[in-house]
Order: sequence, then structure tokens, then C-alpha cells
Amino acid sequence: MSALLEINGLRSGYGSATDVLHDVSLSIEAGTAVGVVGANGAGKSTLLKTLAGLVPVRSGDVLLDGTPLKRERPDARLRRGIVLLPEGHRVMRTLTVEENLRLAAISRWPGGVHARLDEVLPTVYELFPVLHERRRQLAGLLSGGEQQMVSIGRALVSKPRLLLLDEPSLGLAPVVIDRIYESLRMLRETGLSLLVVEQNLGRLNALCDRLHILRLGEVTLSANGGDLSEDAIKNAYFGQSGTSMTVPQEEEE
Amino acid sequence: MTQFLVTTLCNAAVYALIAVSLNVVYRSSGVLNFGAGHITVVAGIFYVNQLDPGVIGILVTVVAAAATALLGYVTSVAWGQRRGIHHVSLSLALLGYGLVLDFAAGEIWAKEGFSAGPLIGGSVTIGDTTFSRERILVVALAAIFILGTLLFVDRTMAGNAIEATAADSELATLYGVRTDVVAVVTWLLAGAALGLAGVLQASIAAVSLTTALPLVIFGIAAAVVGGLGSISKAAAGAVAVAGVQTAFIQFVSPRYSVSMVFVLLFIVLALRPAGLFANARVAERV
Amino acid sequence: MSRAFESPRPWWQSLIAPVVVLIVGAVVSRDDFWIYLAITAAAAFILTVSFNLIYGYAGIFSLAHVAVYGIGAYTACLVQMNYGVPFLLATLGSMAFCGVASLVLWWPTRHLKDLFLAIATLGFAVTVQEILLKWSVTGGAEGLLGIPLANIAGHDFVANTMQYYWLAAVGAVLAFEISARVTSSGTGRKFIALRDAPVALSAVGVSPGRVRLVAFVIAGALAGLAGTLFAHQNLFIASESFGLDRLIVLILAVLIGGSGTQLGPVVGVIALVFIDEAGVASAGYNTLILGGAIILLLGYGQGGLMGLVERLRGLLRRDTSARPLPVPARAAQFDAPRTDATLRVADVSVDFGGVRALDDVTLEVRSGEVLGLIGPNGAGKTTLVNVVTGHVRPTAGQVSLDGARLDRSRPHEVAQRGVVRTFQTPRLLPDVSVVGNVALGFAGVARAGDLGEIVDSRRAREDTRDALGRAVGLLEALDVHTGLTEPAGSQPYAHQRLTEIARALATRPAFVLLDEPGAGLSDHERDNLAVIIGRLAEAGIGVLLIDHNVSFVAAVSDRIHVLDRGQTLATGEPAEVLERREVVAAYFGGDA
Repeated sequence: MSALLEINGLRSGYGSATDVLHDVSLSIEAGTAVGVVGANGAGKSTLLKTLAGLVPVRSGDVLLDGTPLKRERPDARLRRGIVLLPEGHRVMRTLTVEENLRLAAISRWPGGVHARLDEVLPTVYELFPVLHERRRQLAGLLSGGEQQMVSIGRALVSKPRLLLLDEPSLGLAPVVIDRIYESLRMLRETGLSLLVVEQNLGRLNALCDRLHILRLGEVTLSANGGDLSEDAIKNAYFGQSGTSMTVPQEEEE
Repeated sequence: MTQFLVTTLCNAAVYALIAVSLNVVYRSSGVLNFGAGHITVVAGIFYVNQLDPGVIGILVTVVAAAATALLGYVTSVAWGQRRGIHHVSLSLALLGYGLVLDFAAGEIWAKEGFSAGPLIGGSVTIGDTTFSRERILVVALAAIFILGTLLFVDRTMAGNAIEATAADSELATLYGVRTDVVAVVTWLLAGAALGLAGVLQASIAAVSLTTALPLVIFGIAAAVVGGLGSISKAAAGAVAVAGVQTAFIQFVSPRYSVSMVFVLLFIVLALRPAGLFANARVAERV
Repeated sequence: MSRAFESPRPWWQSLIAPVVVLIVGAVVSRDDFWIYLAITAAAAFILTVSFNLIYGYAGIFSLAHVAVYGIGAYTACLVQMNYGVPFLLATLGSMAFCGVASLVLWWPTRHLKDLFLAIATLGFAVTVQEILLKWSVTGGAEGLLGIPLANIAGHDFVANTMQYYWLAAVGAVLAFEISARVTSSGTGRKFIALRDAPVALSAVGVSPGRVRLVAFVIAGALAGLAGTLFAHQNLFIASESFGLDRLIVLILAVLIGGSGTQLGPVVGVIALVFIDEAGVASAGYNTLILGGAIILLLGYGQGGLMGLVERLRGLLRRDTSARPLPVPARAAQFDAPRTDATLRVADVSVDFGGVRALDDVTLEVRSGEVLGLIGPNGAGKTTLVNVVTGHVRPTAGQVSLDGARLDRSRPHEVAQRGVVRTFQTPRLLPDVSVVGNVALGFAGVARAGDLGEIVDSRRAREDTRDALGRAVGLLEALDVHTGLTEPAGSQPYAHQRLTEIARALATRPAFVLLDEPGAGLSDHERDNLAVIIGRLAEAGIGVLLIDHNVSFVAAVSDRIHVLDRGQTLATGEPAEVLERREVVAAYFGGDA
């Protein structure tokens, strides 16, 4: 059975600058969750942005259902089912929760907005009841966790097959992170595929079927979820430099 | 006093439309349309020379101006925006576009001042001041357009798409928004505002190619005084600018109307560049 | 790459302008029309050079430049005509007045962003036009007629004669000299930094507002000179000559020639004169041509003709052997000026519109120690650095250096007081050589003042030699031996980071804040970096090190401070802090 998404020898970078990703290969089976961990500069955000169509591919290929993805823009990728949730729980701050969800609907189904919303909103509100309560509030005034929920909600409105999540736990309190990861687990169980990039390896260990370590633009270690022991993880974080892991973080800006 | 108010409001109507147009474009792209004055004036000249005063005339002019603005975007801004050319350079490129319009208008019509015939007749008397009913119509039309724009951006889904693209265009594409379509609609809207401004200016006074630059300065002043980028505050800024200008003309000297607006602009830039009516709320929209 | 960062001016550069002017003079003296062109070109050259300084080099979009040119013309004429002031004095007075007028332009806009500056200068230009047109003193719509001939010591310089050419030529040589000296000295380096990386300026202790001031005044004075010569050539001036059309032509001239180069104005003037003459012939189409050219050059073009030449030169120079160093290395010290200083952050909180980025944080860095600052993403580490360097105001608490408050100072003032930083992504001038970038660090300590750079060429040259030499010395002290003359943007990340550190060291700081210097480095490069940081500490500099590579930070730091979600989690010796459960939990969430 061919994978949902297959990446082979991917090389990409920004503008005319040097490559960020040198040779990335990994695959995602349908209905599974794959985690990627890496340090700043390793390329994990770049990987997601390349898959979403924000960063051009320089060489290598990306196959969705066995067919290669060409130079498509994010809105075209979205129509193929690839939806990116960027880091920092970014939402449209000057629109209300409802308007955020509607914006995702109108972008994909300009003619049948209401039909789509009738179809998907109950699911979203069931997953995140607080969004229903706050549906008329400006998204910019919500807490970080609620914004992350809005982000997941609007992604669901777009009928995704593969969700790309860039550090979904960034800047959130542990109990909120639990809630978010619980919802991701539920989504995975409905058959949705996930590619999650994180700093928080422990959570990925529990959620993901497969884990990859990304270092300086290449995958250096792959394992099945749950295979890495706590000690191995801790060693990797606080051990001597020389072992391949560093605490993965992005730029603060 | 009544005359003062009437003059102020009529001028404010024109300046507000230009300011709204500038703000719509600025919000979505960071570019300031230095050619806005030329589009306004050419629209007015077109209206006076080619059409009869009336609803049809206004509509045709507005559509033509919208198309002209879109052409300006396509020729002078679109390419540079994608390549990351500095937004001040692109703003100046639009001034170049304005010069091209200047040339075209000069060739097609003469290089003189044009005034339009009245849209409606009759006059109104308040106290001992009499003024034409047209003036009320001018202010009303501007107000309706601006209100309509606000409602459009605020309440409709298409308007939300524009607002979203202006606030965070990268995120908007991740939501699936067709940002190129949004850009086209934005510029058409901006052009429409200028078209109406040209019609109104021709109706209350006159339009000529020499007033293109002063008009864009007035529009910029109105936008900056209100707070650059804010559509809702542009009207307030326009009233402030027009008010100070009318007062200066009536009580000091009628000769230096541009200079005095500039002094006001300079003072605002020096003291409160965010605009006189700005506030620092987190999720402020339109 | 710009001369200012390459090497000090060669002494013979001062001969170029006089020689060219002599040759041109010899060639044109036979034909009246050629003489007229040459005179026009000379005046236009001065104007173009002045605009090239402010727009080409310093990157300031001053749309008022032609208005200042007009002010120069009118001022010189009016004081001669109404007050009998002699020509030379009137010229100097006009230049001074233009300098003052430029100050008026500069002062309210000195900290505003580019677009607002453009708006303010455009408004100024339109206003000056209105005044020139309507004021009786300036002749109103008819303009100023009957301008007297330029007269020096009783001798009349009749317009359109060779004599006037020599007068204008002196002006042109003067303008060229001033421009050449300014742009190859420390001021030139500051201009380019202002244009390409203003953040780098404040990082080395130079006030960007002040650099703008210098640019405005010098360019304004030269524009005044150009205006005066123009007026005494035409013997009649009117407001039309100083309006939008003229501005557009001037912008075109600089763009076509290539902004920010010394030869650019020469090419540009040729273009300008050509456009002028062609404009006379094609009067009707003038506006169309100008408008179209502006759209093309600003909306699509980059670099102009000189830029094209540069790119071709770059293509041709396939030779990868290193260019020679501009000057021999000089010993570079970066010993801290004091060894007992303390940098203290006390109870600092920062709110960003409802989000508490920092919550009651207190920490201290002492001379000669390395304090590591770690924490998960979003913990507030960079915000803390921004508060110390003055880029962010704390909502509560204060930052102090040896007891004196630091948090009220602007970024460049903080750097001047001895606290400097590097950035997460290096803020270098990408097209300037590595050595040149480090040389910028000495901009705050040059001995020749702004005026000195124009007048006392020798000291300015010495400053440049010194800056470049010590830059090489600093780089060698940081073990950077290769690629010194290559553009900084082409160097590997590790080199760029060391370049930025060297630039910071050039200011002889007491404290250095390093913001994620290890990001994107290989293990080997990071080990090198650790050695360098050790040397900084040994030199008595207090180091605050932010990095996410905990083992790296632990190996290098004397103490570690842990932040999580804006709050202090732990502080103390590395081994002890890293064993703490809260710290481990912060990285893992609830799992540890």
C-alpha cells in the first residue's frame, strides 16, 4: 500500500539563500501520526512550509497518493487536502471565531459555504465546546490555547487529509497542551493523518506512530513511537554534545 | 458659521474618499498610492467631458476609475511586490503612473480646469446662508460610499477575506484565500473611491491636472491625521484637515491652502505619527 | 562593494575631478552650444551628487531635495538683489540656509519610518512650490527676473561663456571632493549602514537619527550650491524649475547611473542632460516619458547602469582566489574597560497587549563571568535581551549598569555605555566584506568628527586604515582567517556569527549579550564558539549567553538562569540547575 505522503531527497531553502533542507526522506501512512523533532536551524518549520507550498522545492520530490505535487501554492495544496497550522497558534486576530471558521469555508467552497459549515461545525464545537461559547469573540482576544483550538477548527473546516502542525504546544500551559494533544489523538482515530513538529518530545512519543530526528536539514534518526526510553530521551537532551540531539526550538520573534 | 460647515464638509467628503482609497491599499500592501490624486482628477475630467451629470454618469466614472486603478496596480506594483521591492519605491512608481495618466488626459482633453453641471437643482437656506442642495448630496454620497465600504469589509465574507489578507497575507493563503483575487478586488475598490471623489470634486469646484498633487497631499494628510491604515478614522481625519484648511482660508489667507495643510501634517507627524484618533487596542479592525 | 569599506582613499583620487574638468573645458571651448551643455552638466552634476549622497548612499527618500535646490537658488538671488550681498557670500549664505532648511525637514522625521519620511518630504516639496508660486517676494507666477551676473572681486562671470564654465567647474570639483571624502570615510560607512541595516548602526552605538541629520545637511548644502550656479547661468528662475518634473528627472538620473556609487552621478548627469535636451525637442511627450521611466526603474529595476556593470564584473570575476587584505592587521584589544561592573535586571515585567512576556525577572551578570540563559521557546529570553538593550520598554522594574539606570536609554545609547549584543539572525551588511562589517564597529569611536572627515582628509584616512586594520586583528583573534574580503552575506553561518561578535567587540564593551549564537552551527563550530566565549570572559567581559543547546550552555557558563513562560524557574550552577525537576519538566511538559 503506497503511503499517503512520501518525501524523497527533499532539498529546499528560502529565496536565493543556501539550502535549509539537504536530503530529507520520510513517509506518512494514511491514518497515522508522524512526529519530527529538531533544533533551531534544523529545518523543521521549513519542512512543513515546503509541504504546504510556501517554500519552493529545489530538488527531490513530494508524492501525495503516489502522484507528485508540482509547484503548487498553499491554497492549491489545501484543496488537495494538505493543511498547515503554523506555529504560534496563529489565527486571524481581527475576525471573530465564527468568521475565522467561515473564512476557511468560503475559501474552499465559495458557492456552498453554508452547506459545508452545517456539515462540519457540529464536529468542531463538539471537539472544542469553548469555541461555541466564544464564537462571536474576536480571535485576538482569546487565550493561546483557545486560539490553537480555532486554528485546528478552521483546518478541519477545509476538509484535510493531512494536518501539518508546527509546534502546537508552543507557549501553552501543560494542562492546555494535554487538551490539544487529546484532540489530536481523537482526530487521528477518525482517520486523519498528522505530521507534527515539536520541541516537546515526550508528547510526541505518546501520540505518534513514527518519530524522526531532523538535524541540519537531514533526517538522522528514525524510530517507532514509544521505542525511545525516557533515559534515552533525557540523555539526548542533557547529555554531552556529540550525541545527535539538542533541545529543539524555533526563533522567538 | 453655516457656510464654514458646508465648505468644510464638502471638502472633507472629497478628502475622505481619497483617504479611504489610500488606506485600503496601504493596509493590504504597505504601498501608498502617490498617483491617487491623478486618478481622481482624470476621473473628474472624464466625467465632465464625456458624460451627463446623473446616476449613470457617476456609475460609469466610478467603474472607469476602478479599472484605471487596477491597471496602475498591474503595471507598477504587482511585479515589484512579489520581488520584494521597497514599498516606498513602489509608491513612487505609482506617481510615475499618475504622470502617464496626466499625459493621456492632456492629450485627450485640454489642460484646463473643468467643472461639472449640477446633479440636482435647487438651494437651501439656513439662517442667512444659502447654498445649493447639490452640496448636501455630495456629502451624502461620500458618506454612503464610505459607510458601504466599512460594512462590506466588516460584515461580508468577501470583505472579511480582504481584511484577513491585509492583516496577515501568509496566514490567509494557508486558510485557502486566493490572495491574487483579493488584490484585484482591493484595487478596484480603491479606484472606485477615487472615481467618486473626482465626480464630487468636479461638482463642488473644479478639477484640473494641476490640482492632482495637492489633492493627494490632502488625502494623505487626512489619512495620516486619522491614523494611516484605518478606514473608519479616515473620515474624521478628513473633517479635521478640511476644517483647519477652511478656517485658515477664511480667517488668515486664501492663498496658501496647500502649505497650511502640510504644516498640519508635519505637526501631526512630529507629535503623533499614529494619528490624532489612534488608540492602542489589541484587536482593532478596519 | 563600496569603497568606504574597502580601503582608505588613495591620495591621487583628489586629482581626478580637476583633470576631468580641465579636459572637458579644453574640448568644449570652441562651440557655444557645447559650452552651454557643459555648464548645465556641471550644475546638474552637483545636484545629482548631492541626491546620490542622501538617497543613493544613505537610502533616505527625500522627495524635498529639488525644493531645497530651489530654496538655494532663490535665496542666493534674493539676498544679492535685495540686500546687495556679494556673490560669493550669497552663495555661502544660501548653502548655509539650505542646510538649516534641511534641519527643519530632518527634525520631526528623524525617527520616522521611510514611508512617513517620504510623505513629509513630498508635502514639503509641494508646499515650497506653492510658496514660490504665490509669494510676491519670489516674484510670484512670473518668477525672478533680472538676476545679476555672478561677480567675484569686481569681475563679472557672464552666463554661457567659458568663464562661467570654469566657475561652475570649481563647484563641480568641490562637490565631487566632498562626496568622495564623505563616502570613503566613517560617515560613508554609517550612511550605507543606515540604508542597508539600520539596526546594525544602533548596535554599534551610533544614533541613526544623527546619521540622517548629517546626510540631510550635507546634501542640502550641496543642493543649494547647485541652485545658485543654475540661477546665475539662466539669469531667470521660476517655480516650475523646482517642481515634480525636476524631481522625477533627478531620481531617474541617479537610478540610471546607479545609486550609491561614485561614478553613478557621472553617468546620471549625462542621462539627465540628455533627457533635458530631448525633452525640449519632444516637449509634449515629456510627462509620458518621465512617468514611464519612473515606473520601469522603480517598479522593476535595481541598480541602474552601474549596478549592471557591477553584476557583470561579478560574473567575470570567476577567480576564486582571495582578494588581498586592504591594510595590514593591527593589534586588536578587546579587554573590558572595567573589571568590576555589574549589569542588573531587577523585577522586570513586560506586557505586550495582554500577554505577559516577562514576569518579575531578576538576574545579574558580572564582569568576566558567563551567565547562560535557557528555557523553552516562548520563555521570554529574547524579550529580556531586548529590554536590556533598549529595544523594548519594561512595564515594570528596571535595568541598571553599576547602579545607573539603563532601561530609559535608546538602543544606541545602551551600546555606547558598554552593553552590546548580537542577534539571532546576524544583522550584517551582506554586500560589504567581512572586514568592512567589523570596521563599522569602530564608527562610534572615530577621531575625526563629521566635519573633520570632509576637511581633514588625512585623519579620516588614518581612521579608515585604523578601523580596517583593527578589524582584521579582531577577526584573527577570533580565529577567523579566511574569507575576510568576501561579502559577508556569502560566508557560512559560523563566520557570520563570529563577524557579528567581532563587530560588537570593536566597541570595547563591558558586557556582550549573545542571542542564540550556536543556532545552525555544527558541533565542531559550536565547540570553537565555546572557546571564543571563554576568551571574552577572560578579557573581563561579562557575557549573557542565550542558546537552546543546553549542553553547550552548561559547558561554557559559570551560572545558568532558567526562564519558563516569562518567569524565573531556577538559577545557579549548571550541574545543580539541570538536575532540578522543574527544569526537566519545563522541557518535557508533564512527563518527567
